[in-house]
Amino acid sequence: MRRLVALLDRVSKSYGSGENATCALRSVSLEIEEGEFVALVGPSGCGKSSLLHLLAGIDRPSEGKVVVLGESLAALEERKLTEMRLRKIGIVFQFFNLLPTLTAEENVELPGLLGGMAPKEARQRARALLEEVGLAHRSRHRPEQMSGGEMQRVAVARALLLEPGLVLADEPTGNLDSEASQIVIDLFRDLGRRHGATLVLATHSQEVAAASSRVVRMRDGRIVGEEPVTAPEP
Amino acid sequence: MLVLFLRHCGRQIARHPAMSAVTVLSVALGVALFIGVLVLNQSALAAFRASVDATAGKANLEVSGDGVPMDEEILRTVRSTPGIAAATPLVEQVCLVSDHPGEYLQLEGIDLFSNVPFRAFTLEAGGSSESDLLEFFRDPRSIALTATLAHKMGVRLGDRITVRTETGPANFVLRYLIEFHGKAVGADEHLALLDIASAQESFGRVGKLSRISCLLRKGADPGEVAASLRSRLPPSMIVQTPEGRSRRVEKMLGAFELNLTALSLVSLVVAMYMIYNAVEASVVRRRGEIGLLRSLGLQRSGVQALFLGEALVVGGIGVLLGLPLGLLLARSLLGVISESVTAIYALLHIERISLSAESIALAAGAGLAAVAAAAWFPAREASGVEPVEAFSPGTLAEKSRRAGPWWAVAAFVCGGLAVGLGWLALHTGPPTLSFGSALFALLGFTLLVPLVCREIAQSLRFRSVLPRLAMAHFAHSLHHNGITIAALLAALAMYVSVTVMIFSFRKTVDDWLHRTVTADLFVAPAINVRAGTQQALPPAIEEAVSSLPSVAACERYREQRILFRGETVKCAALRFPVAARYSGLSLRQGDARQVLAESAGADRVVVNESFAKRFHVREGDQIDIPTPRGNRPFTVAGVFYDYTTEFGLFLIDWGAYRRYWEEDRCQTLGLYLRAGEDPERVRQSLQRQIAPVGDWIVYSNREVRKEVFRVFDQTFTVTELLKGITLIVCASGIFLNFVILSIERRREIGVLRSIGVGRSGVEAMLVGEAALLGVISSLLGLLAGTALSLVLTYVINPSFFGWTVRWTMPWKLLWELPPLVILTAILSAYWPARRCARIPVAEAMRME
Repeated sequence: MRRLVALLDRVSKSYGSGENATCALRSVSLEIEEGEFVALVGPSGCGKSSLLHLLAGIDRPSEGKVVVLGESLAALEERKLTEMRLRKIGIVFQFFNLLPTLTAEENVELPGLLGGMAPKEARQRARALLEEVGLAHRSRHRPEQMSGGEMQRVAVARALLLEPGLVLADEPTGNLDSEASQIVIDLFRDLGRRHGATLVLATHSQEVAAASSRVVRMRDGRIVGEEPVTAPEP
Repeated sequence: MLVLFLRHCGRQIARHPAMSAVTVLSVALGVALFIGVLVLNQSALAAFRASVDATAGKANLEVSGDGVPMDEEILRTVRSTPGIAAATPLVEQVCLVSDHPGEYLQLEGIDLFSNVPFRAFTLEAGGSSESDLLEFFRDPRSIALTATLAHKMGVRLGDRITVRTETGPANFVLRYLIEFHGKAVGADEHLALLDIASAQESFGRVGKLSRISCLLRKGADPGEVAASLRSRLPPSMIVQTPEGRSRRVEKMLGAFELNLTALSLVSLVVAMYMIYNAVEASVVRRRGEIGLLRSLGLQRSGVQALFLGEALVVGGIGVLLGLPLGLLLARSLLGVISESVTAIYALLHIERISLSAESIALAAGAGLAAVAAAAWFPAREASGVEPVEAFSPGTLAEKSRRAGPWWAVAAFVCGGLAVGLGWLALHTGPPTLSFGSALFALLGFTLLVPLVCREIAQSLRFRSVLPRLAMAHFAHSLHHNGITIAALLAALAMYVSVTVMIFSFRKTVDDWLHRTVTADLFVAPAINVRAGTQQALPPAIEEAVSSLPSVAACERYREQRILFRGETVKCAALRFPVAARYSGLSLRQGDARQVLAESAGADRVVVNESFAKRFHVREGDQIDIPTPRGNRPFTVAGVFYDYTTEFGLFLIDWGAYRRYWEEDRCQTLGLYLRAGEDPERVRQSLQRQIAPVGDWIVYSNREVRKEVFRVFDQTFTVTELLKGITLIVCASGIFLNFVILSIERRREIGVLRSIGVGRSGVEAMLVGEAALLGVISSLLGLLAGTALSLVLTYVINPSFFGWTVRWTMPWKLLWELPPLVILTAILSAYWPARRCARIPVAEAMRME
C-alpha cells in the first residue's frame, strides 16, 4: 500500500463571522497517496484554491484535520509550518510570482539558499532544473524578459528545487496560451514521475485534468465526485 | 544568501529610484545636520583648547587676574612658592590692525628668556632656521605672526604692521613666522608674539601682567601647589591648570552647544519619520513578494530582517552622503558660529574643522540607529503579512486602526506629565527636564490625532459622490493618514514654536533695549565691536567726550569676568546715579531708580535674573564677591531683567568697583545728549574730534539696536535651517503617504475606473484627501506649536538661561502657514494621484 501524503478529514473553512460568514469548504475529506497527480476541478468559487491553501499551510481550517506528510498542520507552530513549506511543499502560482529583481537562475535557487544549501550546490541544482524545463538558455534572464510560459516553467523548477514530497499548483495554466499550457502540463507529468513528487493542482482546464491520475470534482465547497484518469502516454 | 540579498537590494533601489532617493536624502539630511552640529561644537572647543595650549605651552599651572591686570610683584611671589620650578609672565591684548579692515591680533607679550621651557611653538625667520631670537633684542618693535595670517594679510618678513592699542597706534616689524607644535596646532591664527617689555609699553601696562604660566617641580602635586599659591595671592587671582581654563570656556558654551545638539537630534527624528514612511511604502508595494517568500519558507524573522537590511543598505548610502554634506555645512557655518560665540561668550576664531574618528563613528552610528529604529515597525508589519492575504489583492484593503477612548486618556496623561516636568525643571531642576516637558506636550497632541480625524470624518457630509468617497478613504486610512498627520503635526509644531519663541524673544529684547539702553550715543574702542570687550578707553577720550557742551550726562561702563562660587560670571561697573536718572533698567521687585540711587557708592550690587537663578539669590541676600582686595560681602539690592548673558551678571557702582578692583578705566561711554541735540550731528563731530587719538567708534542708539539684532539673528541661523528642513519633511511625508495609499487602493481605483470614474475624478479624490490632510495637520500643528512655544518660553528659557521672555504671537503666522501647508500637501500628492489615475484598469482588477 502506498504512503499517504496528504489527508483532509472533515475540513471546513469559513471567512468572516456571523451573518457575513462565507463558507469556502464544507466538511471536505480527501486522501492523497504518494506519487499521485490529483487535479481539483470545479467552477470558480468552489473551494479549490482554499483547499490548496490549507494543504500548503498558508491558511488554517476552521474545522477538521489537515495532515501533510505525516504532520498534522493544525498542531504545528508557525515556525515549524514555515519550515515544512520550505522543505516539503512546493508551490506554483497562476501568476508565476517570480521575484522581478532576480534572474531565472536566482529565482530557482532561492529555496535552496533559504534552506541553508551551499550556494554552489544551489546554483548547480538550479541550472540542472532549468535545463530539465528547457530554459538553460534563459537562466540569466529576468522575469520581465521572459514569456508567461517560460516564467511558469521557472516557477515549476523553483518548486522542485528542494525535491518536496508534495507539489501544489493553483491554476498553473490559467494565465497561459494553449501551447504554453501544454508544455507546462507535460512538464508537470514528466517531472512528477522523474522526481517522484506528489502533485495536486487546481484547474479549470480539461487538458490539465486529463493529464492527471485522479480528478476530484468540487462544487460549493464540497467534493462532489472523484474519478481516476488513465492518461495517454506522451 | 548575502550576495543574493545584496543583489536583490541593489536592483530594488534601481527599480524605484525616486523612493530610494527620498530615503537616502532624508537620512543624508538628518545625518548632515547631526554631524554638522557635532563638528561645529567640537571645532569650537578644539580651537579654544589649541589656543589655550599655544599660549600656555607646557605650563602645568596658570595664575591670572581674569581680565584684570596684576602687578609684576606677584611674579616674585609665584616663583618663591614651593613646588614651582619655573614661572614666566605674559601680557595680553587684542588689537585691530591698521590698513587691514576687520583684522585683529591677539598679541602675547612674552619674556624671551623665562618662556623657553614653556614653548609650544617655533619661530621661523625667512627660511633660515632660527634658534636665537636676536631680532627681538635688536629691535623691540619686532613681532611674530602665524604664517596663515601673514599670508591672508599679504605681509612679508620685514614689513611694517601697525596695531591700534588703547594708547594709540603702535608700529611693529614682522620678523618671525610662528609654527605651532603638538596640541597647539589649530590655535587661533590671530595669535601674535612680541617681547613683554615692548607689549607693556605699547599697551600702557608698564609694571602689569595678564598671566603667569608655571612649571612644577618633578613630583610636585599640582593640587597642593595651587592651594599654596592661592593662600599667598589675593582671592581675586585665579590659579588653575590650562585645562581648567579650557573647561571654564567649555562650561560657558554648554547651553549653546546643548541647544544646537537638541536641534540636530530633532533633525534625526524628522529623518526617522521619512524613513518610516519610505519603508512602509516599500512593504505595501511588495506584499506579493512578502507572500511569496513566506510561502517559499522564509520565516517571519527573515522577512523582518530583509526589510531592515534593505533600509540599512539605503540608510547606509544616506549616512555616507550625509557625512561629507555635514562637513560642508559645518564649514559654511564656521564663521557664523565664531561670530556668535565671540559676541555672546568669548573671543573665538575657528579656522579648521575638527573631525575625529569618534565623531564620524557617532554620527554614522546615530544615523544607522535612526534608520533601524524607523524601519523596525514597518519591517515588523511586513513580517506579519499572511501569504494567503498577500496573494489576494482583494484583501489589500486598508485596515483602519480604531482610536479608542484610551488615546484621549494617554493624551491627558502626557499633558499632565508635560506640566509636571515643566514645574520640576523650573523649581528643582535639572533644566534638562524641560525638554521632557516639551516632548510630552508634543506627544499629547499627536495622541489626539486619531480622535480628531475620526470626529472630522464623521461630521463632514458631502452630497457629491467623489468627495464622499474621499472622506470615506480618509477615515479608513487612518493607519497611514494618522501617522502622516502626527508627523506633520510634530514638524509644524516645531516650526511654529521656534518661530513664536524667536519672535517673542526678539520682541522682548527690543522692548528691553528701548527701556534699558537709552543713551543717544556710545563710544568704544573699535576692537570691542569686532572681538568682544578687549580694550579700555583712555582718559583723554573720556575727557574730550564729557566736556562736550551737547552732552547732558555720561555713563561709564566696564565689564569683566570673575569667578564667583567657582563659576564664571560677568561683573559690570557703571555710575548708579546716572543709571538711576537716565536708564530704564527694570527690576523684578522695587523701583530701579530708587534702588540704584540708594546703592551708589555702597557695597551693594544689582544682579540679573540668570545670576539670581543660577546662584539662588534673592533681593536682600548678602553674597561674598572675590575682589583683588579679598572676598567682600555685598548686598543684593535688586534683580533686573537682562538678556545679554545666561551665565550671570551683576552691576556695581563705580565707587565700590574702584575701591575693590583699583581700576578706573571704562570700556564704553554712553552719552545722554541735551534736549534738542541732533545725535547724528554730535556723532559726526565727535568722530572727527577723537579720530586722531586712536581707533574709536561712535555709534548711535539705532546702530546698537541694529547690531544687537544682527547678532541675535545670527545666533538663530541653525534654527532657521531646521525650519527649512521641516518644510521639506512636510512635502516628502505627504508624497510618500500618497504613494502608499495609491498602492493600497489600486484595486478599488480599478473598480472606480471600470465603472466610469474618469482619471481626473480619481486625481481630484486623492488630491482632495491630501488637502484635508493639510488642513488638519496645519491646524493641529498651529495648536501644538503654540503650546510648545509656551513651554519654550516659560519653561525651557527660564530653566536654562533664567530669562523672562514675554510670549508674543506673530499673528501673520496663523494665516500664512495653513495655506502654505495645504498647497504643499496638494502639490506633493499630485504626482502619486496622477500615477494612480493612470494605472491599467484590467491589471488593477486582477485577482489571484
